[in-house]
Amino acid sequence: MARSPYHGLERRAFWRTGVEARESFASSGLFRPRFPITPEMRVATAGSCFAQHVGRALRAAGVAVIDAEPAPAGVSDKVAKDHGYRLFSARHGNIYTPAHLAQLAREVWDGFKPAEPVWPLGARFVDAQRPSVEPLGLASEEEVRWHRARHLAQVARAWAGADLFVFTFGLTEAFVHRDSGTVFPMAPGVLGGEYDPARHVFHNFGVAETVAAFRDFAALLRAANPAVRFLVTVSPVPLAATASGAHVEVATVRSKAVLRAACDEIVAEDDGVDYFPSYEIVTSASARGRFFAPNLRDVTDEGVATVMAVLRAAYGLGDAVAVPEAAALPPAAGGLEETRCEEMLLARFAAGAGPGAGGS
Amino acid sequence: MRRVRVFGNSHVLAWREGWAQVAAQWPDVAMTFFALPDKVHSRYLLRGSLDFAPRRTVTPEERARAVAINGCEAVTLAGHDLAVWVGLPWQPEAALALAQAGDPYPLAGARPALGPGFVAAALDEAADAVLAAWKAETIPAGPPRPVLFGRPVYAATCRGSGHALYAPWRDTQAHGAAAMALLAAHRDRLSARAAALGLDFAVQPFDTLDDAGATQADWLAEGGGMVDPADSAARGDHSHMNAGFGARCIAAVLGRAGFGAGA
Repeated sequence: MARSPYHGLERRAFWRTGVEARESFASSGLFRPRFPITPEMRVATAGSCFAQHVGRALRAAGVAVIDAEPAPAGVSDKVAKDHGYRLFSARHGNIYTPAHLAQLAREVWDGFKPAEPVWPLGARFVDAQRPSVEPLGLASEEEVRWHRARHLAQVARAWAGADLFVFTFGLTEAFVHRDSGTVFPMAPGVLGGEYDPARHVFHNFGVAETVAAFRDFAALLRAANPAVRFLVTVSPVPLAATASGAHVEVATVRSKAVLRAACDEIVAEDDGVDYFPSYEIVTSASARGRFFAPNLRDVTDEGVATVMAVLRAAYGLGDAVAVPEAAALPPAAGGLEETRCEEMLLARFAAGAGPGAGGS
Repeated sequence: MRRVRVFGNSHVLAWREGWAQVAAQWPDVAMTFFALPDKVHSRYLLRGSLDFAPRRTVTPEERARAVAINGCEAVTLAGHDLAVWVGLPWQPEAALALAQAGDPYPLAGARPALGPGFVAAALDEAADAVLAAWKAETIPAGPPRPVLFGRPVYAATCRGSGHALYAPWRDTQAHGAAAMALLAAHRDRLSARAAALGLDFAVQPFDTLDDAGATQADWLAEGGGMVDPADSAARGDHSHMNAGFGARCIAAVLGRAGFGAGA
């Protein structure tokens, strides 16, 4: 009689020993890196709100996280982050979708010109591709264009100089310019501009589109930086709002499922890409929901710390702390790690006004 | 005769020596001075009675030092037509630090342009720190409520020192327009914030600055500067100014207080 194919597998292959009986996420073999991250590496980060944690954790572990557009010394983190500094390796704000990421790379290296590059904000103007970095706007369209030209040069510098590019997939929902296909990071009308159904259309990206967009991005980056490798994650933060017509909880599961499936396809066919399971850690049944704040959306400090402990342990960075299973921990002590998540502005629309893609 | 009380830390000295040069121009003004070492000054309190007097933490030795300098250990602003609190911190280095990083306007092919919203937020933050250092909410209403006069901006000689304190002035020497614009913006925002609290804030006339936001070296007090030329990283004294500088400040304050430009 043939032996079962499950015979001899590691303990982590079985739920009882891999989940029920594990002592900590960090020691459970949840993540085995394809390639190392060392303090000598230069790392670029981008993505959704949750990606900000990854950059901070790597920096705290002594990894050289690139900051191509640093804030002036002496300015507090609050003021800096309110204006897009100290969040990612360049001052592009949150990049929620791979389509937006690929579009930015095309703008940097392939001559792409986004439609509606400048949105009015009252009497002032914002960069439609990163409206959050100057929340009060600039004095003229020309000034916005000047800032963007300089920003693109710094994006190129940050990304081309990276040994590792870390990207957190956040959303599948976006608003798109109907004629040109230009993807916007925020719905028109939220942080500038004005929603016009004749010009703007909601789009909910599928798995194939998400995979293709990331591959387009990776190809462009590798053309400039052939040795770069990628570490991708999926944000565990649920959507704040959906424009899909579905219930936001259903839309969240759809969005995360698409992103997770896309990551699987990407990693399966590209040895230069690895997947880190931050989504799985935070949403794990073994966490019993405790990694979410009382609003069931924000990830608690404890959840972030757990994710980052697994990351550091896997790469042997810093003094990885064994984070015990959630059930063994005392109640979370409140205090959410602050991230800049402009899509939270959508909460203003909770009463029912305005278009707005939610995200994580 | 109108009575003016000038009090504060060691920067009062330039005012006292300056007054000796220009007192004849204001024959109807009697100006008196009270100065303390900064370490002691920081533990003095301007009370609601308008007495500028030591807290309990000021030691007998420090009180004796105050008496040795001034002939008394405390003074009052009561009965004066004008009071000027000299040498207060105002963080000009915060403005210069912004100028280290970029320009407050787009310049072709140049450094990063700092957005006006960011500059305003950063300077507001600096102003908050200054107002906290002044304990602005505790400054009595008077009369007279003292004019708060900022300490001098470091002299241009500071750029010759390798001390970290002076890095903003070293690094912005080639970006004078940015340094001056941001320094003026900081002064103006701080003045506005102080005015909202009913406080009158002033600093040295900006024509005493060079074109990159340092006090012109000619205004530096004798004996100041590198102090120890053999130690290029030494802090030195690039902060204390001379009588001529004090006279300029006096003229500026008396002018804005309606005492006239002097005879």
